[in-house]
Amino acid sequence: MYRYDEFDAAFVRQRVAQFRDQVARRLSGELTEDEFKPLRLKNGVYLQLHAYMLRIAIPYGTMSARQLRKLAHIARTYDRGFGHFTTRQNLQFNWPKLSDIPDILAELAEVEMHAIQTSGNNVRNVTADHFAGATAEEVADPRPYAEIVRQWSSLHPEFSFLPRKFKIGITASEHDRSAIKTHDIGLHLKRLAGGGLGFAVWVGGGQGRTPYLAQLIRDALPEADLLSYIEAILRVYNLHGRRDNIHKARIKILVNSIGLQAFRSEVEAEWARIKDGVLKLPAQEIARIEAYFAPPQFATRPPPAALRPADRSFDRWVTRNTHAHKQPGYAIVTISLKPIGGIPGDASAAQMDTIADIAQRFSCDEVRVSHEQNLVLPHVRLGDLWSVYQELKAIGLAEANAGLVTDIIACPGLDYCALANARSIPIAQRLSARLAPRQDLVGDLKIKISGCINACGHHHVGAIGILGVEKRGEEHYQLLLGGSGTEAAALASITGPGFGPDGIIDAVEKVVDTYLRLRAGPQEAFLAAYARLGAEPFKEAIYAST
Amino acid sequence: MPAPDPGLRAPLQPSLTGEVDAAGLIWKEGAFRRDPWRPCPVGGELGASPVLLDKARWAAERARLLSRPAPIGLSLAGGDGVDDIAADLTRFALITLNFAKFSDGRAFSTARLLREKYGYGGELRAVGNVLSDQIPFMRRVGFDAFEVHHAPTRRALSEDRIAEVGLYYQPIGSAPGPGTRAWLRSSVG
Amino acid sequence: MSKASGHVQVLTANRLSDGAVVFLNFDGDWVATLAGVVIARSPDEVRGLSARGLFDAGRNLVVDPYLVEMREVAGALLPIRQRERVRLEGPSILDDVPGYTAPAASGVGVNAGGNREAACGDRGRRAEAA
Repeated sequence: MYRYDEFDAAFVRQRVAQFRDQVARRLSGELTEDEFKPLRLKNGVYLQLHAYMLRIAIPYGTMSARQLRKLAHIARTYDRGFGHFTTRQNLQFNWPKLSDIPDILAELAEVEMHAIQTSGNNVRNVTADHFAGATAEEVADPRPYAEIVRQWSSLHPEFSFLPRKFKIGITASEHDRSAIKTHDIGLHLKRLAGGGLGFAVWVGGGQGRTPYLAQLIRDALPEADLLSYIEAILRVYNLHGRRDNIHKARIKILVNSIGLQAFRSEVEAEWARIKDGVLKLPAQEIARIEAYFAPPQFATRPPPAALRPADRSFDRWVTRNTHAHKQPGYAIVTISLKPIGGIPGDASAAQMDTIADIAQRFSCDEVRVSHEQNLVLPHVRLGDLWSVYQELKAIGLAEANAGLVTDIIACPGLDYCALANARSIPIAQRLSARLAPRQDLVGDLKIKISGCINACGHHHVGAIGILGVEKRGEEHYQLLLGGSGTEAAALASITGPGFGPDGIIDAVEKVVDTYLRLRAGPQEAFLAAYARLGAEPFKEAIYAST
Repeated sequence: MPAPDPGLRAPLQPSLTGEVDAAGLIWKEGAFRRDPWRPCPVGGELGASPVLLDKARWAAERARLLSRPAPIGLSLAGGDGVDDIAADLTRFALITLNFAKFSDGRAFSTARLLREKYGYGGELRAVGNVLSDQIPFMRRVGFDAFEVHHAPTRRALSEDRIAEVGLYYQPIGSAPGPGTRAWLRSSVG
Repeated sequence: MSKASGHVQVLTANRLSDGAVVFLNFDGDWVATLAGVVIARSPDEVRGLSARGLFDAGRNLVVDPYLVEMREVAGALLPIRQRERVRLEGPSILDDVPGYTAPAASGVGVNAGGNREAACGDRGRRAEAA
């Protein structure tokens, strides 16, 4: 993984010093809240319902054990003993004091971490496939490019006051685990005709009040042109994106209002001017960054004949929570942060420490955060799976439910978030408890819950999506069906009138019942069944009286 | 202040630098100064002194103004494009770009287009909501003068206390200067 | 805003230094509990309270002041909106947060006051069992 050199280390230290100065000027009153707010947002500091919230960047979701231990330490020392992993591969702390945040950032800088641009109207954390560098499916590891874009976009003087936030996601496999079509720019790394590497570039995706799937703006962009092309897109957006209405300010609105053709012409006219200039990526520089992501030294001992003593739960866990690795004898392990009835995506300081140990001993010192609010151990030897399973079980994180109906994505919702209209966590907990007994029977089914229209829970691309709203001062929930964030991306459709907190649990259960009743067999997953049957049978079941 | 970029085209008339005055509104070349320019009131007379026109006024009187001996400046709003006046840029000793709100970042792109696409070499001044935390970004994209009303920002400039991260990950302009991440440039030539 | 009978307004904000939820009390202090909170009933009182919020935000004691509509029930104050109930009581799920440690009662307020946060640790609601 990437290691800071002196330049990078000095950069984050200076940034901490700059923010310390800004906090001091705020606390003394020299800066008003209006003046301070955009500055604190650029360091990931929100004011939430109960307290400040600090969002820490985990670039493309990759961390070392040392970094994870530092996060545990911060949770214990400055917060209330836990953290929340987000749908953009970041980590959130819910209770930091503003006066402590410069010290927290200084501690993060010691382990090459920061909170730069995890909020604000700038380029946010560039997310990547959480199986990058480990799956055989990818054409190459996408993370070096994510690192290049991360550096180039850090404190970019031209693009620090965009009309709105800007999210870039990157994948390198045909099966898209990064949901690139829901991003402002989605990048699909692939082999171009002629043999070199390049990108299909997608633009204008985004959820929120008006969801759109991204459109293909350029199918074969050579890797050397990556930064100049992104700069052209950002410049057109910066100049022409709407600034009069916060709900109409994302690039998706611009692309869809002037049309992809017109947008593409603007971008390519600007790109033609700059493409052979100072941003053209030299091949040796790409190679230099790639070297940081070289695979670890894999052991070449043959895997054991038997993985473990006979144990059905372990079997289930291996089946559900491990994925094929490109290196024979290895597996990719998903640590589900969705214990039955638990809070999606949360981990205690103690759990983080233990996972750091496991990663160090069994996963080549690397751990990933997925946008599904789970963690990933990317390089585990098959012979070590039993030990890993036991250690995860001891900390309550061995639920074999990756991708199942209890592997729910939920934003923090009204329990934490000042923007929320309804709570999402208790809904997730109750659904998990209600559906757990049948989770294996149901199979792959993503439930995604957002507590407000900002869609941080990605409900628009859930097979079952739930949107919390406020109705006459009380919590109310809309139900959507049929969404997907994968390469077969689709926006979910609303079923009809919404439900109260009890009604939504029952409604989701009826959807699941209907699926089980009408599917062609266990091999027909929910989305396929929904595509075949249409929404009608589900709506009938949900809205039937009694 | 760094030396002017030799790649930029000097305007037909030199840019003006007002007298040093601690109460002056214009921060330029390391000091607060009086403003030698005045805005032309809408529909008003141009007069003889250096005058700032908006795009509409320039367009309306362009033919007549092309031969005006006294300096002319252009004041642009956040949404004003510059492609349609690119041919006239050497006519302006000063261009001002307005930050209507400090969150309105359009002028950062406009500034770069003026400097890097069109080679504008005159004074490029940030006006409107100019605050200390944006000034380092403004400098990097090509502003060399700032109209500053905000008292804490004025103090920070006078005392040379603008906190900046002096290490840059992006090359901006043709001469990025010290501290720039070298590997993001292609080799020269 | 106090259109319904029995509805009153209180002034709330977040403390600047640590973001804690606070309410304005009769001593003019910002405290983390509703005990002794200033209650506005008439339109004039509401305006006055609102102005006080802006004034104290300008003094950099608090950020984002606003009025919360409450119902008076048997001598206690209950927020009308679910959002304000959660904000008053703390996250509803703290019992289920792995490793959650309630803060030590600090008694530190802008001008002293109770510690609402400790109460949050005690009261998280359980998830419904299947």
